[in-house]
Amino acid sequence: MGRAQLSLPLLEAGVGVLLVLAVVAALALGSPADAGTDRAQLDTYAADLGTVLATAGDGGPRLATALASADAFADNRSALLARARALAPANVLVRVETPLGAVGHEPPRDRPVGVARVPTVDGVATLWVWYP
Amino acid sequence: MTRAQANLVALAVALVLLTAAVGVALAATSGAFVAADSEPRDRAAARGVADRLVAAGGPLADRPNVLNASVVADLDAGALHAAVPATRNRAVRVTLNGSVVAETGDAAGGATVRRVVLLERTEAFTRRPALGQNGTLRLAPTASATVRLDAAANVTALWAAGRQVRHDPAGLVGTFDLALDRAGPTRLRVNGTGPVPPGAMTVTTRPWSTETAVLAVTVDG
Repeated sequence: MGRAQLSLPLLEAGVGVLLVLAVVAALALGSPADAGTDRAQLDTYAADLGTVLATAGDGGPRLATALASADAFADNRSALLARARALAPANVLVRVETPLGAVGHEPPRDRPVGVARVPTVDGVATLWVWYP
Repeated sequence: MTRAQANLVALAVALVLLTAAVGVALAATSGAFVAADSEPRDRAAARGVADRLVAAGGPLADRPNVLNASVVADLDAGALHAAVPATRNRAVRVTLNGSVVAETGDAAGGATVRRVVLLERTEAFTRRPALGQNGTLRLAPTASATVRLDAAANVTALWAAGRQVRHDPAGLVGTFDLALDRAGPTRLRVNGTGPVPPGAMTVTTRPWSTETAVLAVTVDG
């Protein structure tokens, strides 16, 4: 009877090993910790950019200057974007949305994006930052 | 009954296989478990230290996210411990644009939080103007100015940006610190009983320059 009898314990052991390896693979590949860390760091960048743009820096508070009127925004939009880009670390892209318009590219949908909302006397400005 | 005997060997082999797989898996994942256990604590500590360092009332910053360059230059491990007690008993490294500012212990791994800051340098600039009786001096943007007046200056009142800030009909003599609007230039005007001769008046302003920087705080353990 030693013919084609498949050994049942060995089969079970094979399934068990596969199960254990699946758990390891899930831990190694599917961990969302990195994405959450990126997101928190980007949120921090966005909040810092908002603070500096709204309160300080060479040439004074850029957001207040740009949001004073529609004409002021047209005149200052490139300066606002240049300032935001200069402030952001080299590996970070920026978009600023204001009640008068937006500067910068659209943020991506498939990657972590940090966001901060900055209240000013002329409305709420929203900053988006992300890694390219 | 040979079948049951053969299955006993297979069972032993299966148990060895499964045990080995579990052992390998635990070895591979224990690192992840250790990191998952300690990194959030490091990250929370790093975030707290960084928040403190960039806060307006903190040890380094004059205004939110604006660091005073001379204070940053003086920062060392002892100053960091004194300013941010949470850094005691932890390995903490503070860097600005990648160069180490202060380091306590050896933070080899751990968690890093990065902040966008402005680094502001102020440099005192003194001038000795000669003015007419009601002369005006245009000051470049500065947060504060110090005016020193001798009796020979014949000044009874100081005006800054259209407001009278000091007045003494008997004559202003001494050193006066003025808080000014840093958003733009200031017109400093004197009223007096005569012109201000050279050397009788000195005005010290503190113009500043800023550069952008990334403050990184690493906490390990």
